[in-house]
Amino acid sequence: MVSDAFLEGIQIALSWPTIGWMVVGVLLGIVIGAIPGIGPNLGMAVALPLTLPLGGPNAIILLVGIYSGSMYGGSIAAILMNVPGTAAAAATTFDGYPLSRQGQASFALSASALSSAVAGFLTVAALIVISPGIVALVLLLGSPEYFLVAVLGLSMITIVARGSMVKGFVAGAFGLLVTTIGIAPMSSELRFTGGSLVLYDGLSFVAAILGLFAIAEMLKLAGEEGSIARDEINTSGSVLAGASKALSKPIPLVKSAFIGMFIGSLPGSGASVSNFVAYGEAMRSTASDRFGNGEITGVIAAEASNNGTVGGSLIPALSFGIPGSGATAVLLGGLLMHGLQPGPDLFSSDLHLTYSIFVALFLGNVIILVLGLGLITRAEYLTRINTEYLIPMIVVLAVAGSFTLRNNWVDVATVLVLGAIGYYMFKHDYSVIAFILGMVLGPIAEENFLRSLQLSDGSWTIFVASWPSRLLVGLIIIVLLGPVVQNWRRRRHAGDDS
Amino acid sequence: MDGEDGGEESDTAKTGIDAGEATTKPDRRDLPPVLDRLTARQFTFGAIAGYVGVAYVLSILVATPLFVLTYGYWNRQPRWAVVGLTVVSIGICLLFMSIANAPLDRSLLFPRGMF
Repeated sequence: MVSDAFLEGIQIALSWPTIGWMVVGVLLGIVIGAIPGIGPNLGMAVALPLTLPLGGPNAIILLVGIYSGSMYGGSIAAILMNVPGTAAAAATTFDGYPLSRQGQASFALSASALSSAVAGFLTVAALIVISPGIVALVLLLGSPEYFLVAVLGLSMITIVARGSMVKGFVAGAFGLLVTTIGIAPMSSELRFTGGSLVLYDGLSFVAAILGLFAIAEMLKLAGEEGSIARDEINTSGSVLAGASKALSKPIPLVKSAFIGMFIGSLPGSGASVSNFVAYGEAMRSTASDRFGNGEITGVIAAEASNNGTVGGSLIPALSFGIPGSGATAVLLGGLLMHGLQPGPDLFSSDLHLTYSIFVALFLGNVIILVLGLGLITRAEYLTRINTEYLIPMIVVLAVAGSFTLRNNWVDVATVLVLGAIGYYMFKHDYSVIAFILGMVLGPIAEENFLRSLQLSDGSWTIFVASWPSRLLVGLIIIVLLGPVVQNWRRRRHAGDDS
Repeated sequence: MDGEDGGEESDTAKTGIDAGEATTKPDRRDLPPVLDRLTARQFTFGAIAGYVGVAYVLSILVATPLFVLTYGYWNRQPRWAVVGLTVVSIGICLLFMSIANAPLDRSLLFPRGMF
């Protein structure tokens, strides 16, 4: 069954126009990633409504292409301007920009393109190899386990909410509450609709994402002036030398790719974490005093890790519907919008679609390599786009796109209201990702909770009846108690020191 | 996590530029004093809210160029940019109407659409 699905996945990914959408996605991703201030979240969010006429596989492959391309694109601004196009390329600036100042920009950009592409190949290949194991694991789970997986995802708020835990829980609870609007699952009870027919289906998750990632981001950008490009940018240096240099450093490249994949597979982490971890590991394991002054290994490590993260982040997103990052949350929005439910379906009846995403991602890395190396001498133009011109265009895309979702004004109002709320959440350090976790996992938790209790005639022991359930309960306890134990140990150490 | 991919620690927060709010700009064109006193964020939010309001009454197709023109005028963008962006924004609406069959010309005043 798995091999048949894999072959069908290859067929889908190589068919026309699917492969064309992959190329478009990667190209858009590179452009989006290269413009400081725009990132994969925003790029994917505004592209979501435009994918409505496409079929499910084409739409998801386009979104995955944007995600993957933007990981490489982020390095362009990081290397040329010392301004990471995305937070995932922050560590690239440490050595990329000094190389650029030394007249080696093309050398650094080509090393970045090759590292990104090779890391993408390796991690997607690993994902395909381990996927039968993921399939077996996902099919082992029933309603009680899915409820517990959703609770585990919600408890990850303790990890995602950096800073105040209370603010994290408030944001998560708000997300949960928002999903209670509309018809209740497993019954016909109406909740918080105010008698309005248009609220029967609840608020659109995609409209919420457009508000949080497009409007809120634009409000943030509005306070900043003009293009971020400064100084003279030159793209001198050898393209081929950079590519061959990256290949001559296989150990940091492979190690960073899998660091990225591992960190990406953990809900609550992402490329913004993995690029620093991989960079730190490269510094630790490489005997060089040039780190920070133009050591190419630093660029290779950071760029390999952020592209490695893409494959890893698909594991919790597709298997359990848990978004590991903002970009995977938008991807989940795309899946739901096209009627694809993350979880058992994507690993049984729709397994071929899952494989088509993996294969397309694999091919996407060839495109990153070709476009990445081919576009280097033109890369500086991408960094000169004035953000002041982008704001009205993105607002128009968000408003028109939200209306297109269901042709109703509630979605447009959702975009406006959640845009304002999202901006204030950012300003006052409330976790937007905690809010999204609540919104994505709330309905999954509620539906599986009710179904489990129906199966067990109301007995709560169903949630500890099987070994996967007990394991999940244990994990939930560990995740919830983690910060408490951490604080206790910190206080004890502080007591010992004094 | 958020940062990667943008999440909450936004990409813009890491851009290294001054994130302070741009309030007033050099006077190249006269703006009503009330509008000129607004910060860029206040104006942007007000403009988006106004855009949604006008779109509800007159349709997204009509409100879109008005929003882009107002935004460009307040930001003192060059005329060629304002005209170019307005044309692109109408193109975006027509794109949604043609490929996604979105009735962007419908509104409170035109419940059956303008065309």
